[in-house]
Amino acid sequence: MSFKREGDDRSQLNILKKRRVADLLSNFIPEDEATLLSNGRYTCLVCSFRPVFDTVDMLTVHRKGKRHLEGLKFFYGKKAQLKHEITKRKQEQFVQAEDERQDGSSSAPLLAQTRYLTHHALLRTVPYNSCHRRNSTKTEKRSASSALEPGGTTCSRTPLEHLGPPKRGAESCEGLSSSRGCISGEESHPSKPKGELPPAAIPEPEPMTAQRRRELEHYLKLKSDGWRQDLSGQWVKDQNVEFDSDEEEPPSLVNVP
Amino acid sequence: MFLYNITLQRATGITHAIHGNFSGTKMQEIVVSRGKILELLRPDANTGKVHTLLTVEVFGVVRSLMAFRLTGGTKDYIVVGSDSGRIVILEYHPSKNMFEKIHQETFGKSGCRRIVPGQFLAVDPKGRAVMIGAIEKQKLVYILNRDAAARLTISSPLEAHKANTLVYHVVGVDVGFENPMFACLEMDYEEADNDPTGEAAANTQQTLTFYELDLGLNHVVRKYSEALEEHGNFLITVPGGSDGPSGVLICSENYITYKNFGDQPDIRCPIPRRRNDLDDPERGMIFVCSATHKTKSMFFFLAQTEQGDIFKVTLETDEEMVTEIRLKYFDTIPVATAMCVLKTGFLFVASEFGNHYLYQIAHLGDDDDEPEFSSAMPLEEGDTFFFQPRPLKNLVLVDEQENLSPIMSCQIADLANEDTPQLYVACGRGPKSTLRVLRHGLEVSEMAVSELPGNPNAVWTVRRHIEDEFDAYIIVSFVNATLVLSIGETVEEVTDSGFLGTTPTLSCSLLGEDALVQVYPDGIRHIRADKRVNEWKTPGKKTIVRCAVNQRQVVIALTGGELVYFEMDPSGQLNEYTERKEMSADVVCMSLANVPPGEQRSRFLAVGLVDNTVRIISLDPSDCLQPLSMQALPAQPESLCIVEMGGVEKQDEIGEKGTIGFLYLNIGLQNGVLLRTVLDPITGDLSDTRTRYLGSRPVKLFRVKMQGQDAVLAMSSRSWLSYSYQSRFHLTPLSYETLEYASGFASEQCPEGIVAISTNTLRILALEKLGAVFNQVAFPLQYTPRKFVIHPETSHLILIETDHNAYTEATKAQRKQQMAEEMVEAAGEDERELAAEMAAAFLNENLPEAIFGSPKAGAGQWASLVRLINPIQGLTLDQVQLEQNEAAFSVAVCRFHNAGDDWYVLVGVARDMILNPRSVGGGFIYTYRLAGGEKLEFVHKTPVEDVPLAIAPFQGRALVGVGKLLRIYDMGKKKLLRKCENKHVPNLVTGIHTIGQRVIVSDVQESLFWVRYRRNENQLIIFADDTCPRWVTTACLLDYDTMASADKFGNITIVRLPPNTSDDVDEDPTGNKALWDRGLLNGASQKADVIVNYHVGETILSLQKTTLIPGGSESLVYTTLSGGIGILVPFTSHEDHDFFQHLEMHMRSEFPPMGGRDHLSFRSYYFPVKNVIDGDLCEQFNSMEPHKQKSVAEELDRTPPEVSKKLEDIRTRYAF
Repeated sequence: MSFKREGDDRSQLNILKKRRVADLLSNFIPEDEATLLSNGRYTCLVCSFRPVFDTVDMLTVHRKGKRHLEGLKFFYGKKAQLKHEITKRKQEQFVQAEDERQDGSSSAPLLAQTRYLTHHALLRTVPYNSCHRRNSTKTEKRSASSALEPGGTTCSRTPLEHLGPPKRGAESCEGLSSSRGCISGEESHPSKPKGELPPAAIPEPEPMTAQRRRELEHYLKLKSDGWRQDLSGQWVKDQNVEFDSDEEEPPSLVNVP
Repeated sequence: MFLYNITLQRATGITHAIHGNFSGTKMQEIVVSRGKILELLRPDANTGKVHTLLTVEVFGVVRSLMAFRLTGGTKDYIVVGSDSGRIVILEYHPSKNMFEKIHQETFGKSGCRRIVPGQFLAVDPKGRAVMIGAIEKQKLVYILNRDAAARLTISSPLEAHKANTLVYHVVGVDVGFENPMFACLEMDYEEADNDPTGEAAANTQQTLTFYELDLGLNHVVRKYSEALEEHGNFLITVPGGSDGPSGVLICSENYITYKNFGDQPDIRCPIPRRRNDLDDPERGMIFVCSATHKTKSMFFFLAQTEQGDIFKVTLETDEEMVTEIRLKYFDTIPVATAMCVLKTGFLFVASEFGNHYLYQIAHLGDDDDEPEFSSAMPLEEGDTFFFQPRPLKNLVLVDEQENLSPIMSCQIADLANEDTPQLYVACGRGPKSTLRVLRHGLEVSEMAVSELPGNPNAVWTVRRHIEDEFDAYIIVSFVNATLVLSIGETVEEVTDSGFLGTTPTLSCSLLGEDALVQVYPDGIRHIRADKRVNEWKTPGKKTIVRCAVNQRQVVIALTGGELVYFEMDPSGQLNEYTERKEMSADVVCMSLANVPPGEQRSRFLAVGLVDNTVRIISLDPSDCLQPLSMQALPAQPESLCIVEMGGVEKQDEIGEKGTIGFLYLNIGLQNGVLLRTVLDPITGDLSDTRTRYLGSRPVKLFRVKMQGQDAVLAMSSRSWLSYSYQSRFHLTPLSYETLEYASGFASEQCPEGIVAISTNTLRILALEKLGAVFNQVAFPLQYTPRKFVIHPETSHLILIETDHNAYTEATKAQRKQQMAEEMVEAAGEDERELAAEMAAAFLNENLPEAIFGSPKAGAGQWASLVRLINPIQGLTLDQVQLEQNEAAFSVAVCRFHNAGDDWYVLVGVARDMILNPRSVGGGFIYTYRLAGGEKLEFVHKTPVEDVPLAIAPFQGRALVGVGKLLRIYDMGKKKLLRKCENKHVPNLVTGIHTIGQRVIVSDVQESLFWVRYRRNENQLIIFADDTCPRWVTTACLLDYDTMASADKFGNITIVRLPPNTSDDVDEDPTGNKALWDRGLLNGASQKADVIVNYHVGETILSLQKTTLIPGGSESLVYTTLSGGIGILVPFTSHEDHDFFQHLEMHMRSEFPPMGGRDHLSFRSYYFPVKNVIDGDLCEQFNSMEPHKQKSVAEELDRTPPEVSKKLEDIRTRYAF
């Protein structure tokens, strides 16, 4: 059954070697350039039109194509720009911090840290990525926790977020416990300009009270019972779900034992 | 993961049964096949019990079985047709108790294929040739003969092929000593195949074809073929030559027809039907099974219809011409797969479902006034005879073999709070169904219990003479007295036995030929046959504390640890040995082995001392009372017993029968542990110790006889029997209360029993089902049980029973009423009164359906019920009969978040289901509230579109598989509310398992799907599946990522999700679900890995991960449709795995399976076997011949006892 190569043609051997190495390396596609879909296919994150491929091989072929390479320029260009922006702001922040230190008014390292985190949080909203990312859990934890605010009071979300992909399983216990442990920057409002926040007034993350836990649980219960929130935050019945005939309104939290 | 397969109980269903003189003696035996097992049974004509002599796994499917005897021979051979593509001829060797493969001829590929022979076997009744046929085309004839040394020889095959021909049945025609002839029910489909209009297909007739083997030309010819009017289903050979008219009986729908060559006209007789039967009258009646009885002067056939009615069929002849077929209703017994009439007047019935029976034929049905039906009676075409079924009249039931097959469902739990879990098994079919509770242990039948005047200490039995078969006296010792009872018709006290009654007894026994000995604290009393008494008194103030006695020797231990030895001389005098021996510590227990046949004495005395040692002391005259060996013990010994076990029956040169086995020293310790040690018969060395914990009390040991061999009864807090059975050691607990002292017992009524004491009662017990692992308690059910669930709070079972082709009770009553009315209406004016009386009698008549079968309602008719049962007492607490044509298929017990603390039972029901072509008129989910756990209160019913085949509780709601839809239902006020749905399971959801947020769904043909429920989006999303199509019957969660599943072809598979599996796959982000963008074949993107594959060979219907013995490790228990129970256990160390892997490898090459199928290919029938080692094969090591055992053990760098110890260890670690 062994397959033996005949002859000792050097160049042929080298071509084969190269091909083999290429084959082996073809799977090393940077994680942020492609993603696996639920149906087992792949999509290229570089190209704006998000082509879908059946196999890694086809993706590899695509990655050698002209359009992709063009896209790559744009993709990395954008990335570099972003990086540049980050460094710029960091620098600004550093300079400001230096100034303040010279003022002597605040030498609290905690404040600096908080400020740094606010910056960070600010920046993270800038690059919007329509694709699901396997490793990043922060975005939807934040979105889940903001969505968890009862009564549809969250109007600060951009419409874009509403149209975004369905949130991943930010579910009951896991979601709750981890959101408790998340860093403070996530809890603070991202859209508020930084200047408005007096450093001392930055609230600590709201501790998970029993009340809040109940609210969250109630929210999930409504969701899993087939209630949906429309754009205005009103609870409406899902058309595909059955309800008792006398069930017109979702049970409010007060009535829930 | 590496697993080891252990069979706990072999399959109990029988597929074939044949009878013959397989051991070559006058005795008739029965060979049965149980799918992949061959078993030799011997009905004992005296006791009417069926004993199993030998069981062999053949690792192949036995498709046909025939007994074959050469002309003029006295011994029957077994011809086996299997899926191996080979014909195998086996011979039974009674001396070695094993089958030997004497011929194995390969003719085709392996597997159950259309054109590879193996399905049909027919032998020439005069023993000259065998025909082996396939379902289609191929038939081969082998000529069998004997060579100069009278050994069986086999010829090359002769072909009798005919293409495009289907075969229905083949038999050998009895033509005396003319050329052997085979009759074959065939159908030639060539024309039908080539006719596109389908006309030919409608007109094709079945033919009866005769094949003649021309012994002169060594050639098979198609002698004669005749088209049949009715479609036949099987043939019966009619004795020929000098015994009868020859020819065949063709059993077909509604008729039985006799056919033969020459001038013989066809004789045709309709099959009688039951009078006033509720069955559909348009339904045909067929014979399904037959048995032939032939003596020198007469012959008859017993043929059984599919309702279970047996008819005795006789032929009237006039000068070699058959003139008449006569049928007479014989009796009604459960429908059989095979029946054997034995020369001793027994009828062995291998039932299709449920227990097998042995009947005695008490009458031949000749001399009574019941009508006999004859082909000569004038009847219109299409008309038939009627008879009235009645309880047994000609047959008497003498023995019953328990049969679990088919096991529909099984759950293992300790519902009775007995420490050891019980197996709750729903088994059987139709009205013969039962719920059985299986407990590990030997069944004990209590023959007698009698109260005694006080609490006795000990009991013995003695015979009066060494040649006597039965015991004469029972001696019971009390604290200060001894009671002697004589055994006769009754048991009564005697005073003239010569025993001293005013003192307690330490031991007593038969001494020499006909003397008795009684050892009591102050001396030894030797009672001669003529009642002369010799007494030996203890010296000084010493008393006897312990003693050991056998047929010729007495050893006593005096206070202070002094041993005194007595031996009987040829004159019958008991003589003291000149020296005494002082032991270093007090003697706690002693034991002497039985005197080996033909010898003067037993050479060893075992003494247990208070210093935690056991010493072996020689009794040989050359070194008498010298210590030979010693063993230190972990605790103080309590009791000792030397027995010879594990021997095979051997006949020595003089013709004396005896068994040659190993000597074992059993040591019972005070901490409840039993040690079994091999005692070297030459040097007295002790080796190879096996340990087993028996219970909390000190272990007392008693030697008893079981099936002619020595066995040890060990008593702790539970009693155990250690015995050797089919070359394997068994240590099985008795399912009986605690006993204190016991002895063997033999009387006319109970040839092999035990007499035992328990508090102040004397009990006579019998252990009949040796070899059985479980004892059973059965509770009858009405229809075939499908599934059951355990209510966790009350431990009651909720069981659903469903039968196809059946009427519900209500419909039955209604139909009966209707028929009764018709009877009255049809009668003329003057007969009205009589008709009304008959109708009333008909309405009152109530034949038990378990025996007479339930009426067949026709296809598409279903009857079903839900039963709430207490499994401990077997009480039905509540029962809900569903309407006609509603079939319950799934059941679950659950609590709903929105409905408080009440328990609800959900029953998935299909309405108007037709099996083929499959259609269904919808379904329902019935919801019942379990009020107090004792009552089923109907709440509501929820209509669904398809059959709900699976229901499972899930996070305070219920997951239901409705056809191919997976749904979540919540409790509503008027019905269950559908909350969520997944439509992506391809065919039919058959099972649902949940763990955390994961749901694992099994599809009827596409294996398993892993589904994730997301509360936030209220979605069920498939995130992983399996790569192989599997027809999953049942599945079981092993851990968060691992599932075990079994399929209908008899495979067990374990699949595991790879560690990097993500539960959070998303729907397509592009949102455009275009045709080109669906997943490959709609599969999930993540696939489970197969880690274990194993072919069991029987359809598995239940899997459960559980521990079977308290303190044992977990194992995966499976039960099969054929009634088998087995476990898969993990290896704990790499060394073990390595060892068994090599053992299996050697066994494969050294001990190839009997059926001719290769073991590896059998275990890889559908998927290559992976990571499982076959314990059934490994355990055959014990039944191999010793020199082979030795060579295999040497390859493994071990000794044979070490290998069998390893085999025993792995078994006892997980099970029994």
